Amino acid sequence: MRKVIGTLLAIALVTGVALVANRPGPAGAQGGGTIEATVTFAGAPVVEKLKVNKDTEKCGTEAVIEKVVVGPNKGLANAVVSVPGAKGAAKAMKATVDQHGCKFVPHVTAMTPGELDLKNSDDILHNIHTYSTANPSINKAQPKFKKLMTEKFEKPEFVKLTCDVHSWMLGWVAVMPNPFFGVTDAGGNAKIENVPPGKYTVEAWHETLGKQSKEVEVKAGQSTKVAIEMKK
Amino acid sequence: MNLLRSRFVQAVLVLVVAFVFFRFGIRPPAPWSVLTLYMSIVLLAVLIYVSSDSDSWREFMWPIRSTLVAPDKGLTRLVLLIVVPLLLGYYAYTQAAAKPQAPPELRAVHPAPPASLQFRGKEIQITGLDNPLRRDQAGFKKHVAAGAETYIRNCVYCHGDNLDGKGHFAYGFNPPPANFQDPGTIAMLQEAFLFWRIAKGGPGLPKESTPWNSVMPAWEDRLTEEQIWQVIMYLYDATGQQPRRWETAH
Amino acid sequence: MRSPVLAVLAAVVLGAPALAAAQAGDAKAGKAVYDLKCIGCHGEKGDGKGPAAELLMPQPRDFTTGLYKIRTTANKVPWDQDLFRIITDGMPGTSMPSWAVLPDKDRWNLVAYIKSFAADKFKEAPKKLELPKEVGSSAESIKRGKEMFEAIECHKCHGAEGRADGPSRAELKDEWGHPIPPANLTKRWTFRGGASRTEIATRLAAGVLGTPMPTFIDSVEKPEDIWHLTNFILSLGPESPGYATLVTVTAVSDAIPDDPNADFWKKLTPNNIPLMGQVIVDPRNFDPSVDLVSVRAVYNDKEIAFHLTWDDPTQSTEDPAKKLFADGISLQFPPQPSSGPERPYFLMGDASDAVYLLRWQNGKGVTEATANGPTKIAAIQGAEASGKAAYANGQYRLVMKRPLVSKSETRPTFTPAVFMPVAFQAWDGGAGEGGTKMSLTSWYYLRLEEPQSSRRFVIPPIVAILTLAVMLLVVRVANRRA
Repeated sequence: MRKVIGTLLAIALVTGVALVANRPGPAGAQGGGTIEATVTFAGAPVVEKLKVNKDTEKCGTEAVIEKVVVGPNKGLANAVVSVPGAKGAAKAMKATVDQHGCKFVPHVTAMTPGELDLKNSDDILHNIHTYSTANPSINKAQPKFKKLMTEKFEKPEFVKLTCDVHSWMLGWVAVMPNPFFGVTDAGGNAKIENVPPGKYTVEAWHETLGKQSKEVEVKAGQSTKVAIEMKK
Repeated sequence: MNLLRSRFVQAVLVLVVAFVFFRFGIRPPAPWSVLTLYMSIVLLAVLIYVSSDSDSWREFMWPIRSTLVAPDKGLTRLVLLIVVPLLLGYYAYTQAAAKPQAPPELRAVHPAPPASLQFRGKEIQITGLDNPLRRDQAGFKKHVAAGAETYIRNCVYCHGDNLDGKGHFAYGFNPPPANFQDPGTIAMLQEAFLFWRIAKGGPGLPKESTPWNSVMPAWEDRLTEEQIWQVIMYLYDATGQQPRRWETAH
Repeated sequence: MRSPVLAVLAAVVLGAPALAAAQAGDAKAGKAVYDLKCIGCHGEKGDGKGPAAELLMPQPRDFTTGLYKIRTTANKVPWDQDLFRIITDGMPGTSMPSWAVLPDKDRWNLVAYIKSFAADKFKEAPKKLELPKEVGSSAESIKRGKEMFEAIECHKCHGAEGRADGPSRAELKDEWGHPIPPANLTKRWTFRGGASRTEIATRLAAGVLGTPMPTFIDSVEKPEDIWHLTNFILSLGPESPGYATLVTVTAVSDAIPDDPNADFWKKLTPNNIPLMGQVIVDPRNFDPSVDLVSVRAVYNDKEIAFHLTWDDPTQSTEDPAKKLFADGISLQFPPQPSSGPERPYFLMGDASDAVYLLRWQNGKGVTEATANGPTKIAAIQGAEASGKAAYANGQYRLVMKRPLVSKSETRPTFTPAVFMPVAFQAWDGGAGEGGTKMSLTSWYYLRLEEPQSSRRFVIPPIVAILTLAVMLLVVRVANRRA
């Protein structure tokens, strides 16, 4: 018995060390560089509005479906910027999506393969209905008393999240192959840190505008700016 | 086997056997009215047989008479006097208390077709008419396939995917849609008859087919002459039935 | 094995699991059957796009996705038996018929063939679905089921009383983007995957794939709630509609209430009439919304009244701007009872023979009309009919009244004990029905029962006594002769 516990402890220790070792440290600590990406879109924002006929105390009376969010200086929000070619182990971190105000918050969640916590802080029924091909798609009810569900997404893929009860609810889970990614903010900016030095293709993905990419060279301890313009 | 020699037992036996045969031996089951008719005929025949000569008649009547008068049959008499009136009384009760049923609708299933009909303003001779598409032997497969498509887009709701009259709308209609798998339908009819029924539908039924409750549409409004002949070819091909031929003139 | 039932029975008797009865089919042989029987709807490529597909609702299954609505597994892969059962029994409420007429072998071959359209999806093994321990039905269980029904908000789609009228109804789409209505839980004979306790519990636990219906096995408070919910759903409606062939009008001596929700009506036995889509005149209706109307009818010495109940998930009035029609229903009679068997064309009469319509439209109330065909309807002036409708939880209740006797030639007079033809038509405006796009019946019979008489108690004793008298007479005559 003691032997077993000892072995388990050893395994845990080794795994722990491995995780810490693999986690990219602060910029420069390991000689990595930073990519500061700006994603822009010259077109008009696409926002659909829908009158809500139920759960108005939680969802409001009008649902706003933001398909393309364009900020100041044409900055495109909710785009996933990634460096597919960079080498680095996945971070063992749980990502979280909350169903709040009959919206998926955040609208786009990027994560490395692993577990995703699905929270329901609305106190009403939602159902998590995913559309995926690489990962098994699910359609699970999440009633008000089920505050948290955990689902596994093990293969890299962009997964659409919907809720059939509130058909306007739309979210995306970007399961990325490596930890070098970021989701653009309202200004269209995303920062990817600790990228090992080298020449890479930086990719930007948007749910309706598709993919664009650009070549960059990352230098140790330096910040590299990259501007990507999305086209229709 | 003295019992079997008795005229009375023989008569009863014949009646029972006849009833069992008519009631259970005929498929589909004959309605009660028909059964009653058949049984009356059998009864009449039996009576004629037993009354053919006076000895036979006496022999036939003997068990009945003895039950009525013999001193040692007093108990049987009493039982009969109680049971028979009670049975008839019960029968009268079931008749008086019965909820009325919708009246049966007797109609001609295969009414006589007209000699000719107007199809979209064109006169078509029905008598003696054969499916013109059958002459095109090379195009047989093509026509059957086209007929299948016409069928599944138009007829399937009532007549069913399996052509058995069990489409998903079928249960709501009386008379039920025709079952083409049944050897009593298209196998008994010439193709021209089908053409008439498909082209003119329920609204084109003759007087003997009242009370006109058929929901069969008049397909001349929707299908071309060729499409109708193709559907007919499909019906026979898919069910493995053969159309009836016109009797050749003497 | 001759039938799946036998196979299952044999398996149970032999102590083997029922699933052992699956047979390996031959996909090649299955293709031959498929090309004959299935291709018209499911298409040559198995993508559910056969020539009939566009006219069918729900749409035929697209086998290329490997997604099957009805399965008894915990993952997405169905057992072969699940597919075999659907082929054998069909899917109630859809155009998928029962193919029990095909030999077992053919059906197993079909299973093999339709699986081959999405072979990669069947690489994963089916995972057994473990249902919680069964809980029998009881008042308590039903009460708990109702609580759970409300807690997990089934009403969002299925409606507060289960009539498919929930607020999310209009938003629901299937995996292919087609609108898909929720199940009407009060009509379980239309449940796609069957209406037995286990089948309902399985749908709740495992969901209905490709549709918005999610899995609930991990989303109820306690696992056995699946069975409480099942028991509650079973309590929502009858097992079968018990369709009537004759509408009996009951004689009453008191006044007839106008209120469709009055207790008076609840005491009467409903006559349930099935309605079908109108597919004769354009525009046709291949997917009728109103499939059943329950008729309760009474008459007294002055008037006749019809109480109609039917499910309609959306209450709608006419709105030309939105191209919306009003919900409506009508009763059709010949204008005059004829002595012979002839009667007007069932589809609202024709040019030579008119019909009389007693109808109600949401927003317009009860009116009378004469029709010479479905597009030639003329209101009768000087209406004699009146009525009142109530709508709640996806259901209309309506009372329509009319004098028993009419002197006009365009309106029938109702006479007790006479068989009177009657037909029904209904429109669900919210489903885009209006004009010839309706659901309907062909002619049924209506009969005003005679006032309750004591005949049935008087006649039988008389018959018995008369029989006894005749028999005694015969015995006496026979004895005298002897």
